Amino acid sequence: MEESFEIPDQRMQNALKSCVGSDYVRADSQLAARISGQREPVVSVFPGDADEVAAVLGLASENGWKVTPVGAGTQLGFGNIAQPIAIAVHTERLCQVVDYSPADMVVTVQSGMRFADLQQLLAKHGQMLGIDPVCSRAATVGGLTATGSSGPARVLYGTLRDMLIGTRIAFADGELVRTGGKVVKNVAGYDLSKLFIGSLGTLGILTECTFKLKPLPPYRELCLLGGSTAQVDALRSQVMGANLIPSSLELLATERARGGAGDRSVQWLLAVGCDEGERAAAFQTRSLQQMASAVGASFTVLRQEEVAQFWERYRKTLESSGLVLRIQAPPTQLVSLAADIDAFSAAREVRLFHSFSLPSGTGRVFATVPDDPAAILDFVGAVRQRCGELGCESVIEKSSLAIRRRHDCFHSHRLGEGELAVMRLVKHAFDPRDILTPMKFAGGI
Amino acid sequence: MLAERIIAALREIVSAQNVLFEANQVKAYDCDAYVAEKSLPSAVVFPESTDQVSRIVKLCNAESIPFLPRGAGTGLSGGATPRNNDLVISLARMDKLLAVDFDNQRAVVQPGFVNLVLTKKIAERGFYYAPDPSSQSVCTIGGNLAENAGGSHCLKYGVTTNHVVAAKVVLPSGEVVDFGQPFGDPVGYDLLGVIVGSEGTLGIATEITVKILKRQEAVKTVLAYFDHVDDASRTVSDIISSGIVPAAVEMMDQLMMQAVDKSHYHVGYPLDIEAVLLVEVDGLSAGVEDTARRIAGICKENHVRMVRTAKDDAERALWWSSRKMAFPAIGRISPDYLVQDGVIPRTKLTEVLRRIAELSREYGLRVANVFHAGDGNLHPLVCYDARIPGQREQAMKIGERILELCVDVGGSITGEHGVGLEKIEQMAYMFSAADLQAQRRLRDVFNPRDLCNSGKLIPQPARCAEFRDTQKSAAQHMNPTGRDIFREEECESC
Repeated sequence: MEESFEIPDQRMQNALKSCVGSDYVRADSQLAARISGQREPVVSVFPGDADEVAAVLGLASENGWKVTPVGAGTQLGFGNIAQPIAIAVHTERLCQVVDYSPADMVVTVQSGMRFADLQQLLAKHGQMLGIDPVCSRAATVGGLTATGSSGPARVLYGTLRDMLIGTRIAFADGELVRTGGKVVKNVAGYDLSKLFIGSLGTLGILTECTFKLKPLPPYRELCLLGGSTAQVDALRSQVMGANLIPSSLELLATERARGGAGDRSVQWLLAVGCDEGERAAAFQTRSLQQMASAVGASFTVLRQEEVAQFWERYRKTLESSGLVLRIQAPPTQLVSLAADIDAFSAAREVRLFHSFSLPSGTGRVFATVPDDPAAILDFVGAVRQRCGELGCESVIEKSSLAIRRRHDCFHSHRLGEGELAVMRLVKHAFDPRDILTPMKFAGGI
Repeated sequence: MLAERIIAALREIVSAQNVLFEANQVKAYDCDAYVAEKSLPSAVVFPESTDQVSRIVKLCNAESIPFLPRGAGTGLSGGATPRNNDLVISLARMDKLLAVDFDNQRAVVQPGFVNLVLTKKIAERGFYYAPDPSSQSVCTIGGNLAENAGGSHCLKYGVTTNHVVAAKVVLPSGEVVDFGQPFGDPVGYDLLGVIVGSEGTLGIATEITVKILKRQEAVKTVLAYFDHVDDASRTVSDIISSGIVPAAVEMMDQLMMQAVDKSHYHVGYPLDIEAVLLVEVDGLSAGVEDTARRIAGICKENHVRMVRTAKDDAERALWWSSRKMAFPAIGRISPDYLVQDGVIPRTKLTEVLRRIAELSREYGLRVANVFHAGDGNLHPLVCYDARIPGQREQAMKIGERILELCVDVGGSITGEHGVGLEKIEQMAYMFSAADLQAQRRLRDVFNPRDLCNSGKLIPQPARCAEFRDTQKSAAQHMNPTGRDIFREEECESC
């Protein structure tokens, strides 16, 4: 808002300019609203290297200025509403590959590098980072790490937790530290790198990430099995119990798949991938086809380029969702829980898309936020209540300010006071003056 | 020795037969499988429940008694060695399989539950537990969690941290806290992720939830003999860069082969080959045949003398036993040995092996090499004879030089054995003072009084170490147990 825009603290700007140069400091009224809906303007700084990031943090710490790291700024709706932020540290200029040895299948990149650019580079060497999250093309490696992003491929390849083997991180006091290492196996010291995955910029600012890589599968096939809730749950159980190697076992439901108006029986798709080579894929596809026909489910198979296009459409469709809920439950409960959630949404005319990585026990519900916030608030409340009854988790990953004002994103049945207390101590140990993205995280961290 | 009243209090918690304190009883607990340093524990207790562990730890806090957890004692870096005459909390009697959920692919075990027993218990339904350290027939899952244990098959399936999803932990204060999520991602900070591999310095896990995996439909094991180590190293690099993800790639050099062939597991390696590779691939039968053929092709491109696939399960088992029994087999060619655990980028394998051979010549001690070649995790075994004055020191010196070499080429001082006591000095070679300080900050969150496995994993800043040594000798004059020396208030600069 133009009228609420005030000239920010000139002293702060001058001090920041001395850290990063005057071309790389500017007041930003738009960002303020997107970060946390705050009225106070934010000063954006664009450090050119890790030392500058550390210098900015050291300065902020001395002065008690609140700081948040920003990558592409595409996932600012994650987490709870932070306290008003004074400085946004952009990683935009930290976009270089630091070290890439294809034969070692390890890459070190600066945190502001775009994930899409990284994958493109790795693909030239027949390799990939094994995650496929729903995200914008602009999303950065650091941003995906800080939000703990994952996608359907986690069923075979795991999550960033299984891939991030080292970091360079600037702590709040301006100290620049390395965690982990650059080799695929390493148990020297505490595995501090893990703390930063999904930490939403509350512990430090990542300047470099080192990842273990995987070979790009030379051949891909994807089977789409369609059916009712009972049919797909039976298929889930059979696929998980069989000697197959699904690269995804994703439960999907779309508006289109739900059938015509008045059709109250949900139609689901199970997207079962195979990355094991052509002959293995042929075998897996045959097995899946038999399973599908035995329960009367529909069956389609996509190959190679079609598979890439399918997931590309999937990501495009979901990328702009204003609300993302992450559900965590045993695989045996997930399908029926998805059906429950579908019923809640139909009753409240909330448009949503399910994407449940069944064997991992994780599901995401993507929804467009309607004009009527009451309906969506009511929907979120209903989902959380149902998850609570079942003892399952429902984390609000991304949402609107209205929802975040009403719900603690990290409300959890398992996350007890004991564990939260340790988390607060960890936060205090690394950010004693509480300058990094305060209040955005679990337990008021 | 602990005071009478403390022994009485421990007996009150776990019953009399579960407390050992006589010197002859506790002698067996003076070290783990790293035998270079030994120290008697003040006592050994055998709790049978989380509540008992918690009460013991609370007692230790109230009385300022240093303590540490112990599994099977197979650790190779001294992580369970009671260097402060610690009270040893043995988890050996917490050895139950608490739950198995095949449909959701999870199992819950107590910390003293043996690694391989889990696989045996779930094998009937076609499942297994993936981390497979060589000591898996005796080592415990609690110990695996503490060390973030690896194994031969972690190249494809990952190490312990990739398989533990939740744990009930008795913190160093005695408080009991649940960490992690049985399904999905951590909610809040991934504290379980730092507890795994913390070598018993951040608490004691008393219930551990792990992933169990479905056995692969088919396995092919390939054995390849090479005239030259270089060719074997290049084969490893070529296999990996061809896009194959083998389940395991293991290598042994000539000296190692000779040692294992003298053992019960005789494969009959030709005496004149320099290296043997053991490569395993698994997956769907339809794909595995192809992959095994491709691997044989890559071996041939690299001048292999002989390459073949195991003809049956018995042969495959023999090859694996030969590999897994490598450490004990070295006893057949050398009275004593010291094993290292450095990691290097795979691409540096040839160079590093050449440097190790040079070091071996320089010090006049034989070094046998057996390693997880696929992930660059070396296990050089330095052979020596402790009866010859000075040889042990020379062996330790080579060990240090090898670790420094690993760090110099961009690697790590330990891939799976842990830092413990053994490699604590090398931590400062690998990490900067600021890096180590960040790790200390984490330890102080969990273990502020440093009573829980004190003196392991992270070196104290030099100044403090000297200060403590002075304190220690002073304290020992007044108090033969040396017990009260690690109170935090004694060193405010840490």
